[in-house]
Amino acid sequence: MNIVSIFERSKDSLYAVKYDEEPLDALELLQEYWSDPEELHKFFKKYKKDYEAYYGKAKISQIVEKAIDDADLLFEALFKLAEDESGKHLGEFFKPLHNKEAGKAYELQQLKAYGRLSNSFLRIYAIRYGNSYVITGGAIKLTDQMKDRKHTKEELYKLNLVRAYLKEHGEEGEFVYLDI
Amino acid sequence: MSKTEEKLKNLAAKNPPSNWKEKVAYRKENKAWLKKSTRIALRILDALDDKGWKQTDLAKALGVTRQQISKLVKGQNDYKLSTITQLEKVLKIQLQAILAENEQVMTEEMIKEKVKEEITDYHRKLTLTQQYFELKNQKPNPHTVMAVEPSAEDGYALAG
Repeated sequence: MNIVSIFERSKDSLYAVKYDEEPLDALELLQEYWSDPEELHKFFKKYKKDYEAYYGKAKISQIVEKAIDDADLLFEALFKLAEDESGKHLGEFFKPLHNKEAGKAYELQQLKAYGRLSNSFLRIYAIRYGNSYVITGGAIKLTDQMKDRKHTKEELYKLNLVRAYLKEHGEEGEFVYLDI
Repeated sequence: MSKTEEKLKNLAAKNPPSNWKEKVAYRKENKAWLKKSTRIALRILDALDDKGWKQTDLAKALGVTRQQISKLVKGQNDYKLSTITQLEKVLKIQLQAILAENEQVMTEEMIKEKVKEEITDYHRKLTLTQQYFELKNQKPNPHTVMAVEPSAEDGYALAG
């Protein structure tokens, strides 16, 4: 596992994990995947029932277009942050992964960012590390719990894996490790 | 910056930075045509499903390689008119329409909305006409509705 820089600012920085078996880092992978109609068409064919249970009946191509538009908006919002030295902090982009932690912030906290459309199914996952944020991956979440589907369960696994990696690489005693 | 963040910065410095920003900048710059390319890709994928075809079947029908078809459905292809025309022919779908000045594209939703507006307008005119005949002590006749064209002076007509 490696860490790559997405952007570094004076007040905060964004990094992403590059897993050994992947050709690209976690954010670049998401950008590729969420702009690929063929892959998304396959995904929503597989999880059409999950989608319709939440959002009602729709054609797969309409869902895919919605996903791509939402992803573009999400990445553009993050891109705008990267270019902005004075305005918003990355902390406003990410929310605690666990809703019960709303308003709380601590080292090695697991985080998520939502797509920009209302009731979005897109998620980017990250770990807070001081004023830096490390993206571990992302998913199209169509069920209540991340453990409900294999692809979201894998994201939970990655969040835990990266948190352990960062803990190992951090200064001893500096973090308050909370097991959630 | 804390020591731990410094350490993270050093870890990242060992690797080339992500190309993510360049990719987002490219998509932003080319958003309009990429959106059209995505839509064409999705129409092709839907048509393949409808016909029960795999991408290799389309490749055979077009006389191209499977890899070329794969490029067409990635939403990044700047389609040539000849490719679009061939795709329309073999998949029996319409992917593109060149509109004359007096033509416009309407979705099913827009047509439904327009019909709904016209029905509402028809009933409004019918009610006004019936009120007019009632005032004149005549039996309402719905068939005469279009004979009375409401105008800005409808108020005066109703005043009888």
